[in-house]
Amino acid sequence: MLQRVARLLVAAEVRVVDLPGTDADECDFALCAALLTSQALRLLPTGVSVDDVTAPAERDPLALLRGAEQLIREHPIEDLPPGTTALVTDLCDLIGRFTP
Amino acid sequence: MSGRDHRSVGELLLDADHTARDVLMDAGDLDAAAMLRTWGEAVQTAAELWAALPTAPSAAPPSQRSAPVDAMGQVAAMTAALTRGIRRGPWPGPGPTDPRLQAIADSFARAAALINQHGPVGPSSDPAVRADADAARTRIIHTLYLAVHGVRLAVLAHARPLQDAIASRGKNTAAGSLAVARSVLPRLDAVEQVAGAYVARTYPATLAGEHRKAPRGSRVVDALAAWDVHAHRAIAAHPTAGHLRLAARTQELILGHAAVILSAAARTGAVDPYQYATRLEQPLDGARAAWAVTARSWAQFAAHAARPDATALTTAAAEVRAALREITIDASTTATPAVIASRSDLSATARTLATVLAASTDLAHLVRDVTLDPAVTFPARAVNAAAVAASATPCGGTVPGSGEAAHVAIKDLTTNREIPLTALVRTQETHRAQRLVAATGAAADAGAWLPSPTLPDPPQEQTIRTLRARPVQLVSARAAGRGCER
Repeated sequence: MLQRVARLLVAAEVRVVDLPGTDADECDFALCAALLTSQALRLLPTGVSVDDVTAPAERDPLALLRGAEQLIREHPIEDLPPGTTALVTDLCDLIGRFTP
Repeated sequence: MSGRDHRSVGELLLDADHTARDVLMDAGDLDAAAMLRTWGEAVQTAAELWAALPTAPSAAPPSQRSAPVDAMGQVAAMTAALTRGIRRGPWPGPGPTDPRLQAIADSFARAAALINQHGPVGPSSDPAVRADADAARTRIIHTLYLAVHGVRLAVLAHARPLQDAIASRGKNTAAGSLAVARSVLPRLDAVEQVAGAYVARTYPATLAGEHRKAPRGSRVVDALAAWDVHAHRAIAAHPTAGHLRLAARTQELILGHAAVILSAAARTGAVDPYQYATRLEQPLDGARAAWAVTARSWAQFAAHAARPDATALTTAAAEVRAALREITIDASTTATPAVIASRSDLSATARTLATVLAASTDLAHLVRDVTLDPAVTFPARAVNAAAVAASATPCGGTVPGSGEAAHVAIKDLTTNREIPLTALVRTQETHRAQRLVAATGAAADAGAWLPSPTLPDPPQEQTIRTLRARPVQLVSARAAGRGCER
């Protein structure tokens, strides 16, 4: 599941050009998405790569983030590795800031 | 190194709140017995801190009185009864305490000691003081709310296998422990509900009254310096696509915030507004845009073999972002020049930003060196995707000479092996990096008039003689130029 979350975050960062708003918004979103991606990748077991997961068809960066949050929400937090709560908190913070 | 605690009351409360969040982050590794042994102390120190906080004078109208104190009183009374009960029981018994709940208790105790060191505070008629005290109360209960949830999770996790053992084998070697856990759970639940009701009523609205210290002037200086070191180290030692894109994104962000700060400095007279508008504004934006183009390009590479970036680099990037936003962002929009000026010494920050422009050029050279180095490798799929994109013309054809054949060996693509850039991709990336070097160099040259990042220029001999004759404050010739008349 975290593999798919990381894949969505990677896609969100690449798709940042589709984000409405100023250059500063785009830059801040992309940097936060990059930091989130690293956070998510650190939670993956050794040897697990996100390249094995098909790239999502969704192009809207905010929808991609929401998709990642929805995926995590489907699992009890205590079943996920330590550090997932920090990822969820930062993810929700980013979604909240960019939701019109 | 001194072991003395220099944290303020506000910082201690914030640390306690963060520690309580940490408890929930590691919900799977909690030790129920240790937490139950420590929970009582955490609540007791919270109650002592609560009692030390200033209240509204009794003469004040009800609308101006502080939040009711019943929540803390209820939580303290319920917890005291709970701990008295379990002290007599077979479990948890004596043993180690929980380090995080202990840290919370220590923070509360230290905060109470700080408030009490000059004698009892008593009622205060100052609305700002009372608002700050109400915010502190909210922080205390919020911390306990998170922590008690953690204790409940730990006790639940402790009880579950014991219950399963009874269900499967019909016997339990730790029946006493299970009985205590079963009796403790509803009582912890009650504490959580009392705390939760208070939090729902006050959080986060009451925190608006929290006294906020002015941003530490050196934070942004320290953050920019640390970022510069880590970015250079990461790209020189591990020039991965991820590091290149994170460095470029952060440089774009830094120059964007630099423009906001320098614009505020120009409007408030901290730097020469004419020089800023006519010389620096455009090249600065050009450098920012060049970093943005670079970031987008390396982000495509990074997406094809996503790996976590070095922790030191991500931490430095997050800190530099936070330090700059602390100055330039007000709620969710860009702060006004007056607000920015009130938050930082704009002359000093402008001096730091002069260094940033020079460092930006140096980093751009480092990026260009990476594109020229045949020993640096990238994931095959990323190189292939870049080669396909580079060989396509705007009208859908292919660049003459690039051919239809695969750009990268199939076996490399299959395993996504690390390979050097193809000639076409190298040419494209080098051109992009050359443009970046030119744009950042132009911005650094255009900012040459900014105040020196070191000491002000030595005054001329004539000025020295004048200064010796007149005991006035020393200002450099540059700082006293246009826009600094006030």
